[in-house]
Amino acid sequence: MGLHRFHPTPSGRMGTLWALSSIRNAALVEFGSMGHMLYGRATLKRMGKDPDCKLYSTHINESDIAMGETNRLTRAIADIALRDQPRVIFVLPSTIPEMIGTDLSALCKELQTSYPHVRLLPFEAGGFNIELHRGVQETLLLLATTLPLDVPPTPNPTFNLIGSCTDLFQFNADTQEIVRMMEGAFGLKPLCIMTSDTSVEDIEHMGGAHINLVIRREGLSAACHLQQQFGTPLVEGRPYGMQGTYSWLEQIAQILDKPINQSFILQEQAEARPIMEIAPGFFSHQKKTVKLSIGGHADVVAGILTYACSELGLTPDLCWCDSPAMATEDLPYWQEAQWSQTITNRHQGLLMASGEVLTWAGRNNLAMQIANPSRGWQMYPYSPPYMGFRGAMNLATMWMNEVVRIL
Amino acid sequence: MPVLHDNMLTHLKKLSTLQSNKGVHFLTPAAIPGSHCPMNAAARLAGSIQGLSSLIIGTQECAYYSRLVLREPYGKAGELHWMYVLDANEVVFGCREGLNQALIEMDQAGTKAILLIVTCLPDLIGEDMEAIIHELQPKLAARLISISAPHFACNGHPSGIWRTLEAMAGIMQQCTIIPHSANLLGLHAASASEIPLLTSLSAAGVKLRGLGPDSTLDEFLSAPDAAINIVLSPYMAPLAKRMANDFSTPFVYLHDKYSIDDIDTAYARIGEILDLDFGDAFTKGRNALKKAQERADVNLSELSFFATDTSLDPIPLSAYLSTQGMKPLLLHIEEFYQEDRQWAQALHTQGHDPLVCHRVNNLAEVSVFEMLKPAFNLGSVPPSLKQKISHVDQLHKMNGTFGHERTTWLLDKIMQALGTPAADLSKEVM
Repeated sequence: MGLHRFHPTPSGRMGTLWALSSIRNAALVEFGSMGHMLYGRATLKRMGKDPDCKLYSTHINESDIAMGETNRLTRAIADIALRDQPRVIFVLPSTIPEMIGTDLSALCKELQTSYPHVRLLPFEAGGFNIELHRGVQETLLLLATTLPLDVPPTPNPTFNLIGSCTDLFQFNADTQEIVRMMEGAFGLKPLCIMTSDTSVEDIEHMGGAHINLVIRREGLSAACHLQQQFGTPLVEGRPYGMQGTYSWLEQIAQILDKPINQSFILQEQAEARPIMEIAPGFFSHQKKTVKLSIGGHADVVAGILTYACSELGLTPDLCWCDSPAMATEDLPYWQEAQWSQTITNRHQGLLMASGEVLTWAGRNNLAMQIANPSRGWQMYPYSPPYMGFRGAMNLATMWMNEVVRIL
Repeated sequence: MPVLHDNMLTHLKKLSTLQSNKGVHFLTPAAIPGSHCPMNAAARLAGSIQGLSSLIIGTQECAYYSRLVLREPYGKAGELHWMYVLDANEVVFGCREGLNQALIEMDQAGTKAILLIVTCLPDLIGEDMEAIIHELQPKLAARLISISAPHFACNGHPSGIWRTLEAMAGIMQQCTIIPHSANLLGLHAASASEIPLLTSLSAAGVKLRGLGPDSTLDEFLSAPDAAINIVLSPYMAPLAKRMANDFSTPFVYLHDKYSIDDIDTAYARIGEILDLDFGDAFTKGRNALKKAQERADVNLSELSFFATDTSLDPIPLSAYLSTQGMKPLLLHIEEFYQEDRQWAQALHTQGHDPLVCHRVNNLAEVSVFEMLKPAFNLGSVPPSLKQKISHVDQLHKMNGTFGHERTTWLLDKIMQALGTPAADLSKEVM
């Protein structure tokens, strides 16, 4: 860790809180100082999610710490259970209980008998060496292993979308595009959008889905568990580009043994044609090679870059990811020292990254943002997506306009 | 919504038994959304004082979320607002070595003064910032100050503000005192032209320096040249006390004075220190307040109230209102200051000993209002009770203002809320 001039990588605890905050019919209580929850809530709103889960904090004082007292948590759970009557109360430690080793699992087990109608579910992605993505991964896995009920497959085919969480930039828009495409291509409706648009009941019934779509690697362990428990097949990947999206749909078709609705595809292709007829030629006819530098979540970076290079003929430039656990030789993890020294206002070419990186590089066009932290408020719910057919059109148009603007 | 049990308030203390923030308990058990932490307040303040850099020391959470208020790592006047995040190893063994390197790097980047904001975790593990500063300061050009800002030591955020302001005294230097000069600690620029004390001081040729969030580092550093500190905010009181100790700068509190006698006494003391005769400069304001009090008298007598607005300094205010016949039942305490004891005693002498609490969930408070049945609230009330309980809100407008005019304004607002225009003033003076 050490000295930071820019946002540090969020902790696993933050990943857990952000992932759980969107689950309806649940409450979340954090055992720790209340300031943290206040800022978590403010950040979620900026990321585009007014928390559906009721977010509580117990607060903590010196006596609680010195004596190992947990009465605040006990009282808070009693109050929440009585007042809100949620199906589930998620219980999280903040940094102080994590450090002094408060055993939330044991406490929840002890308290559970007093609340037969409310499930107490402790989360402990709290270690000081656990970062955002692992927090999200452990959260999705714990949800998948604890809440789903033993249900039969739904009469009409359905799907779960695993990994759509608030920490991913444009999660709303991308999810809406996948839902639209699944309906258009297969007539499938979502059973559970885990976790950005879901409820406790949706998660309980997610075993009834016919396929699990995993749109980030953090969701894979949860999907594998569901595959073991319910036999639900999975497709992993983020659909970017026209061809990329079609290939992704083909994988799904193969697994579902169900043909893609070709009239939907023809309609999508027809809609995209004016852009796709121009874009590759536009980029190849520029005097200077159009290069794309891109940094963010490894799956997002890889997906967008593949589309840009293989379908539109852009040239990859600097590429990096935001998690050391996801780094590869081709896609290294860059800490702020690396990106801030490399990506300056003298950097040439297209740049897609977090709002913070774009601002540092003197790029005024925040439409090129693909990652958090953001500079602004992502509150408009109908932004154009990056994924899917419409995402392909959006990206191509955006890049063309950016070329006109800066090159 | 379930009605809470009759014994739900037995966990709260009476004001007379309160010794510190520790005795202020939550009104209801679970915070939603709760209060800001001292780190947030200190960071916001650091960001507004031109020339002051900051280093937030803590976990990823503290560092990440501090960017909600300190948005830029580089300020317009060369300030640096950076963060030091403890790793798993430093959580156990301390962060002294890494912190030293970080401060050297900030110093080399050319910063003038750095405020170290020590958050919950480094405070808990006992990282000795004073020792680090003592060891490192001689090697650095940048002046270092630190504040302890753990949220577990309090409920609200004010300690982040007053500790930062108090710490500024640590880098002030003794200077020659300018006889006819005064620091106005906590002055709101908007109110400066409307308050007779300030116009009188200006007319008498007193050099005035407002010190507050909008001041520059240089203005703070030169503050010891003033002949007096006039304190207009509770956040500034600790700075005034420290400057009295370190630089022998006398101070007069005005932020906690609401009654005619208390205000007159404070004004007289200011005149005495500055060797000024204010003549009848305050007569108009005094008479207006006197009339407001006379007209309010019947309406305020026996009027029970809560004070729940988080921006209030509720204990001295309640002490004054009790002299007008009002009966405090419950006070939200954002921060308990040592000076509050005298006002608590004054309330007790009047026969009042309200409950004290920290509010954290306005929806859950409905039962408290229904149980104690206040006739009035200084602050907003739950939506379901708006038609039943008279109240005034927007009370943050009183912050930084003072004197007869502030009290008149407040009485006027209370009387308006009760449906009876009280003061001669038909328009707001603030």
